[in-house]
Amino acid sequence: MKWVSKKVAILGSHAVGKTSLINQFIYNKFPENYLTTIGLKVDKKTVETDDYQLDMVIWDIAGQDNMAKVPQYYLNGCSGIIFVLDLTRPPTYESVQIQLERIQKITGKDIDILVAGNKSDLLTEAEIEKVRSQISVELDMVTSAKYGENVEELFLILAKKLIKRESQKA
Amino acid sequence: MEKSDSFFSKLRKAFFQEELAHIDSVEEAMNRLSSQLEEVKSQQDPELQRELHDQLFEEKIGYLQENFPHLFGTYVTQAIKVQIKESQPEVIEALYPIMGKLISKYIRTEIEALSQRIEKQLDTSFSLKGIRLRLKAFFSGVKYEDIILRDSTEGKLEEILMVDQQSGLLLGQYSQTQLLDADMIAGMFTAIKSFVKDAFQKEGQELETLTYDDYIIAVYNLPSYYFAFVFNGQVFATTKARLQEYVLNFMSEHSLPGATDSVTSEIFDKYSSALTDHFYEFNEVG
Repeated sequence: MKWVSKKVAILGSHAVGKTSLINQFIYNKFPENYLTTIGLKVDKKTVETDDYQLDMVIWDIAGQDNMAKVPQYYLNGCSGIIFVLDLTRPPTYESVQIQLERIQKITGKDIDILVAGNKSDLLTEAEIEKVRSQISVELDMVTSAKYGENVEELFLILAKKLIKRESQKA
Repeated sequence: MEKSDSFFSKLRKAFFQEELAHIDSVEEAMNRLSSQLEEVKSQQDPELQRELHDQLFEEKIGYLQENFPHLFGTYVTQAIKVQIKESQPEVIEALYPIMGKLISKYIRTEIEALSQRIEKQLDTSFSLKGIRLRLKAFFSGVKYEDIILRDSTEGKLEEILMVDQQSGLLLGQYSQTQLLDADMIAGMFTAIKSFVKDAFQKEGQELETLTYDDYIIAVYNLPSYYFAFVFNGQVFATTKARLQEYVLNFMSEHSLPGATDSVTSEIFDKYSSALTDHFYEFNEVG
């Protein structure tokens, strides 16, 4: 089995659940108290897919409403990004297309970016569908960090994309 | 006579019935007052009064003891604050012996640890290292004891991280202690370095040293990667110079990686074993 280590960043507005998604993915925990991330926090999780073992070094970057304000050095050398939005707060997804373009501009290269709509546990199926129709890009995953729904799946999709690129390089 | 007395008595009762009843009630009242007077007199007894006083006093003291923090806490705190503020020299004088004892205890412990290290060094007097230190003393003109003392306080290299400048990914690692998850440290360290660089906005300048408790982290920056050397203890200028020499030799002996956004097992193993081969005797060769 081949081993590879890659950097992944989690971006999005304040309090959309970035840290909670990571905590759920790595530690299977959902902290009930909200603690804002100051600056950033680095975590790691090893994911195994097919014939690869991938160390995802995850940079949990403090929430920014405007992605243009994310310091470039946080995204240097980044292989994949998860952009998180809060399904219950329109301001976090209204300008998603523009925010994604800003991220692409900062990274300066073609990298895998997934868009996740979090806090699905606070809405009904019908409400989620309504929100989906209002978002200008296709959601890659609808998640609930609180109940761990689709969290593992979200990171696995990204892991598979990263490994695919790595195997193409080889 | 008896008859006449009885007659007068009957007459008195007949004519002065109300007055007699009044006299009886006055007598009764006087008796009551005199008994109360006796009681008051007895209460004025100093012995009894002292007893009553003591009892009352004890009750009050008990109440105050139980409720003192609640009743006077704020005032006491305030008073102490004012007192400390107004009598700083006296406070220092009072605390100095206690602080002094603590400090001297700490120094004594540290000196004991140092003397143990020196004894250990002296034990190696006839070893290869001991001979090398003696030769060093001879040629440098520095006393052998001073060289041993310096050698004892010199920091030990415990960890080396070789990190990609851009991604913060760990390219290689040499560890004597396995402190923490090196991947996470490398990432955080890169972020701190980048933040400092960005905050001061000075091109060509980099973070070179970080200090945490007994640990000193010396950073050597190269265009696409950097080394973080984690020392436990003091890092003298001579140690830094020696480290630089080691780094330059390492660079000349190994093909260097370019900027990368993925680290494979081949890269990691290659640089980790190279670092181990190159630096494993760094602490031994002083």
